[in-house]
Order: sequence, then C-alpha cells, then structure tokens
Amino acid sequence: MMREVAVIGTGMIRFGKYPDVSLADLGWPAARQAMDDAGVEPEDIGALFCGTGLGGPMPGQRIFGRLGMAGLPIINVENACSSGSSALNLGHTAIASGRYDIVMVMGVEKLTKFNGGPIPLEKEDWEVANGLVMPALYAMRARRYMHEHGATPEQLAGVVVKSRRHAALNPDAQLRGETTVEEVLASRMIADPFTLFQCCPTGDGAAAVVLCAADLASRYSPRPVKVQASHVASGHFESGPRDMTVPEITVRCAAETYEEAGLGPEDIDVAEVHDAFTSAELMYYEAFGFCRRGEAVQLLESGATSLGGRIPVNPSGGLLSKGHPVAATGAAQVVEVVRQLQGRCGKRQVEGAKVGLTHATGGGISGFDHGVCAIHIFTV
Amino acid sequence: MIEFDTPLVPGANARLSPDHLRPTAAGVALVGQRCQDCGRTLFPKTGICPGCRSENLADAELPAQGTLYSWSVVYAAPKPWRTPYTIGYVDLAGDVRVFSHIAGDPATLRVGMPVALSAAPEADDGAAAAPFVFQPTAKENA
Repeated sequence: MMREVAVIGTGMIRFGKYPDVSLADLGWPAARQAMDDAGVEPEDIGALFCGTGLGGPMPGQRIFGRLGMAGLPIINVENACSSGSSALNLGHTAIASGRYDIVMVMGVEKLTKFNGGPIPLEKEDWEVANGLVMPALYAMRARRYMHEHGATPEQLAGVVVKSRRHAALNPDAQLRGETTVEEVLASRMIADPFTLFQCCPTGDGAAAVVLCAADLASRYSPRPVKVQASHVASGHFESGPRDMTVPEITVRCAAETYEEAGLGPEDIDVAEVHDAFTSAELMYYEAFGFCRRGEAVQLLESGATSLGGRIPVNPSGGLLSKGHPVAATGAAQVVEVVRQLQGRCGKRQVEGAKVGLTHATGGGISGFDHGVCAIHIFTV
Repeated sequence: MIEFDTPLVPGANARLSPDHLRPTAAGVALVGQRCQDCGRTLFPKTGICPGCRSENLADAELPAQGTLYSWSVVYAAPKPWRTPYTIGYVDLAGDVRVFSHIAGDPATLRVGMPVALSAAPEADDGAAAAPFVFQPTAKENA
C-alpha cells in the first residue's frame, strides 16, 4: 500500500546570472527557504534528492554540506531538463513506499559557467558532434508545425508576449520586462525561425521542495498540497521518420499521469509546461489536451492560457521568462504551482486554483525526439 | 567471454567513422546497416538492433535521394562551428531519417522538397566540417 505524499515547503532563489556564485551557494538558500516554509529542522529530514543536469559531481553533497546536513542519504539525479522533476519523482516514491516520512528535493544549475551560447550537449552523440544544437532541434519542430498548421512567426512571438506579461508579476523571474511581437521578431536570429527572445535565457538557479507523508503533513504545514500524481517517462528510440509536431513522449506521459491522478485536462486549473522555445508551449497545449491538435494558436490568442483565462499556462513566466537553469526548472515549476494552490502568488494568483500541473521534458540525443519527460499533478 | 565488436571507431573520427561513407561513380554514398532479422534500417551504425536486439546486422548502402522533413539555419553554435550553417532531417526511402547539413540557399528550402546526397565541401581553416551534405535537386520557386 503506497502512502499519499504532500508538499509542505517550497523555496527558490530568483533565477538570473550569478557568475561569481558557486553552485553550492546557489543551492543552500533555496533549501533553507523550503525548510523554513515547511517548519522543519534538518534533523526532521530523512533523505535528500538533488537534480542537476550540468553541475558536475555530487552537487547535493556540496550544497547540503553547507547546511550541516551531509551524512544523510543524498541521491544526485541527472536526467537533462527533467533532472529536478525526476529527483522529485524519486523523493515521492521514497515517502510513498514508507521508507521515509520527510525528504527534501532540489534542482540546481549554474549555466553562466559556460559563458553563454546554447547549452552544451553530449559530444559523443553523433548529431551533436555534427552540429546539432538545442535551439535548432526545437526550430525544426517549429518549422514543421508552422508548415502543417499555418502558424506564423508573429503568432509564435505571441507566446513570448504572454510569457513576459506573466513574468512581470513574478519577482523570482529572470526576465521581467514586457515586450511586443515586433520586438521579439527584431531580436537577433539564433536558429531560424527562432529569434533570441523566442529562446529561454541561460542563467543560474536553484529551487527546493520539502515532501512529507500526507498523514503527517498537517503537523508541519497549515496548507499542505497533495501530490496527486508523479510520473516519469523516457522517449522511444526511433531510427526512421517521426512526427516532430506531436511530442509523443509528453502525450504518452500526460495520459499516464492523468490516469494515475484520476483527472483529465478539463480538471487542470493552472499549468507550468516546458516552454523552452515558443513553439514548444503551443505543442504542449495540444499534448495535454487543453485544445485539439492544430488549435494551439487559437487557444493562445483567445486568452485562455493567460492569467484570468480558462487554463492559465506558465503564470510564473515559464522557461522563456522565469528562466531555464536546466535542473532547477522542474523544481521551480513545483514551487510555483504549489504556491498557486496555496493562494500565495499575489498579482499573478490564479483565483481559486485547486489542481495544478508541472511538466519538464528534456532531450538532445539522437534517435530520441525527447529523452525524458516528468509530469506531476498537485491538488488541494 | 563476451565479444565486444562495435563498428564505431571514435579514435578514427570522433564525428562519424569513415566506413559510413563510400565513394561511388556519382560521388558518395551513405553506408548504414540493415537488420537481417527484422529488416530495420539504421544510420549511423550500431552493434545491436534497437528494434529486435539482433546483432545480425549487415552494412547497407542507403538511397542518395530523400525528402527534407524540416531544417533550421543555425546562428549560435559552439566552436569550432562557423555560423551560419543549415541542418535538417532528411527522410530516405527504406524508412530511415538522417540528420544532415543542408547545402544551397536556405531561402529556397521547402518542407518536403527532394534533396540529394553529395560530398561535403572542404571546411575553412579551423572550422568544423560536415561529413556529407544533402542539397535540393530541383529548382523551386521562392
């Protein structure tokens, strides 16, 4: 019998560029904030799960050593852009199985150490070794989507305009200035058809979540948030043609997660999805069933996915504006959604939100459209 | 004792071992593999078929003609790549998709257009070089 799990504390540092701060010093303030929020002491915690995509060896030891918490079981997790959310999945299982009552999950990344440019990918991969970069992979998906569904560059740019409008209300976001379609399209070209503003910024960040067995959660938190479903899927290897306008891994992972939660797309009040590039957000509207295939632009332009709409997507600003420090993203999405469900999001609060969804997916290896996808659903 | 025999030779060419390319009268051909048990075509080569786990794989010359599934012109890339350059996915008959650099004026490229394989041009000094390229076979109206 698996136990139910709740989030009792959240913490994150403002995403941004901190070239002079070490990974360890990016991480501990988020962890301490999450423990303060949960009202737990280090000795209450049974195990630590730390996601990092590009942070090097033993990030958890480096971070939790600062807090005098080394000595606990620390599991470091690498799963590309889903590293933080994969760590959450492990932490969830660790409590659900009955092994621990309270664990902490962290996602942390320092991208400024790479001095700008697209995130480094695995050089042993043959497509990467021959010139594939992440913006171009998403750009090829975007071009095909535009071809099949008639979406225009102006419509893609509309995703950024919405994103920045939300981020302007989020003090933890990296890019908080509003923008226009014209400005988005006038920014320099990165990977045609994506201009700079249509790509998530590189930056640094850390986010942490304290998980607790649900039956114990009210001892610590006046407003625990239940983890209704926690799910990870990996991509299928495909040597032949694949439809790059349908993110198969997210479609499959979403179906499995909805089933686990006993919920459907119509039940979701707020979602944080993996908008690493503009077209990705549109494709994920369709993958999650927020609209039908090919109707994502209409959904965006109807205002349904903006704050105040039927299903606000990325109220935090998402990866495009809050920023995308790879492994920190999955954990930070959870921070946002949990705080939304607790009614703590101030000017960007989704009124009456009871059910929230997070989605982090990663790739950059040949033969896989995406390598990994992690989806969580939270309820109050 | 487990035999370990992989056709990829990283020491020979970190980016694609030379036995993936074969000179032909028309220029150059790509050499992948066909699984002798399930028929799946693979490029680049590997030691085991991901479809059926067979190790019974035979070298197979791939068609030199394909269609362009999608492409992007890259303006930001790590060294030693020199930007801009164009990359894309090309679907070949026989159900295999190949990642490739795409030659020709990017403004003339269209989704689904026919493309053909050719040998890669020599790279500039110090710049990375594509192992091969595909380029449009027919003039298309812009």
